[in-house]
Amino acid sequence: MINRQNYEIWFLDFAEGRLSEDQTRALMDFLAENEDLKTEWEEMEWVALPADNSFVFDRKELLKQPTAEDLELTHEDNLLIGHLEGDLSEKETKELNQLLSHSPQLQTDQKIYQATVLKPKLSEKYPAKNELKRKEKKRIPFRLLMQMAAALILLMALVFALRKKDSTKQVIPIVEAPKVETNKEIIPVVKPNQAPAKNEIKEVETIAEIPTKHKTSTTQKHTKSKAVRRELPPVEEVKMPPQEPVVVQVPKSAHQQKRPTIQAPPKPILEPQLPEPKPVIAHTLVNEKPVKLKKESSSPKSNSRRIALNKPKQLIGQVLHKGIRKVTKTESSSTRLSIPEAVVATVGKVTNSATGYKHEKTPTVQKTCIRIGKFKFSRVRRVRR
Amino acid sequence: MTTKQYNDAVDAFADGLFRFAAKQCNDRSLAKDIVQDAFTRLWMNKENVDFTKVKSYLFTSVNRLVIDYWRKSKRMTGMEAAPQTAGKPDEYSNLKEILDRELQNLPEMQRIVILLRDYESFSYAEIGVITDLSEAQVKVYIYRGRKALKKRLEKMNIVA
Repeated sequence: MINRQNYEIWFLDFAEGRLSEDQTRALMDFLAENEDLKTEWEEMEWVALPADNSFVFDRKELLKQPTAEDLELTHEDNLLIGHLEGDLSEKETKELNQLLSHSPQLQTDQKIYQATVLKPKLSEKYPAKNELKRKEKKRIPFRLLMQMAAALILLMALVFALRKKDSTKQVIPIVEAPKVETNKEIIPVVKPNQAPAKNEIKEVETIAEIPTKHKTSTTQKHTKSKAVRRELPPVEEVKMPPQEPVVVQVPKSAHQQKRPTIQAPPKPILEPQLPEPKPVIAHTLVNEKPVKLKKESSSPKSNSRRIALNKPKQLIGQVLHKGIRKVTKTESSSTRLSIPEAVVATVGKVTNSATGYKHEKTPTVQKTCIRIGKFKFSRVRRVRR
Repeated sequence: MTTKQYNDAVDAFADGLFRFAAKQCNDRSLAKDIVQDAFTRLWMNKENVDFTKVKSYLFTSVNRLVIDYWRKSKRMTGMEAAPQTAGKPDEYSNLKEILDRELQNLPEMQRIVILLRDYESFSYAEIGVITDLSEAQVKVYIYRGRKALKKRLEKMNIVA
């Protein structure tokens, strides 16, 4: 029974539609008797939300299972096909079994339906299955690839370092020095057309070991030559083309301790007459064939060629030029570059940038401009009179 | 999908696809081309295809290729493919040949769903995915196709 202690429950039940007609009537009577609660009643009315009928599920048809009418089948046919397809419930299966037990015609229909089931001819196979298959590509992991690259770089660096080290022990001048003794020093001489006898081969000396300053004190000369001798084998054959064997001969004489210098045959050239040699970088001459100096080799008077150790700058320049030509591929005489031009061109090739070289010479001033990519270098030099 | 899974799919499904395509278009060389095309498509999209769904993917591809072929051939002939007339019972040596022939006389969609159902034992849902039909529609087509086949077999009095 509604009273002032439980009227809120009655209000909620009314709002949710759970009150019967009698209960609703009792509620209305209660509200008439207690007008002070009418305000509270009116406030509760808005709680109920009206249903939004705009929401409609539009796939009902997809969810519906077709009936026998939809399938345009009789009930029996529907059961028979359903049994064939495994769609029947237990109740429908029982119903079908009852019908089958009473109807021979239905049994015949069932056999015909069972005959409609297609059976694949399993012997029929795709003729070229292997053509469809793909070979699996083995991917090398990136880490392994990096390790391989690092190992390769190290190997190359090692080979390069070893070659460089070996090159320091290679020989340059091929010298057959005439057994002419100067007052102080022996000058090695090249004799290309005549292979030296083995007993004549005494010692091989590298270009790197040529002292930078020509005029040194006697004690300095002794210490330097001794240092050289410690590094070099006592006798070494020079690995050069057979027609131009290269050896350095150091005479057995008392001048053995003295530094060898270049001698122009047939007359020995005294030390003071030679131009002052400059330091030569040994590795620039590594594995290079003997440089042909046209002026000297074409001389009919002398059968031997002389390596121009007295002109190391030219020698280095020629070798460098030859190497750079290989890089810049400017072998043709029409595009022959000067050494500075070739060096700039090589830098341009390596850095993949445009280069330019300009050299102007006036009686008073020499001006050189080099451009490599964005960078420009210029040098102005006064000519000394 | 990995290359190995792809090759496994070739081993597992190429024969079934070939039979399905051959039944559809009655041309073995064309069926072979269609299967090859389907596997080429699979290889091109192997990164996007889940191996568990590869069978449905392949049958969908073959089904679409067969339908395309039918549509092109209809366009070329300029007429609807005329249903074959029912032959005399004594022209066929056994029930299988009759059934195969009658299958060709069924409407296209009924033929497809029955082939998929009987040859590959696909569920209604799987057939629905392959043929872009709802499960209910698949069921309707299968039931109607069975009924049509039964009627034709009844006429021939082959099954008694």
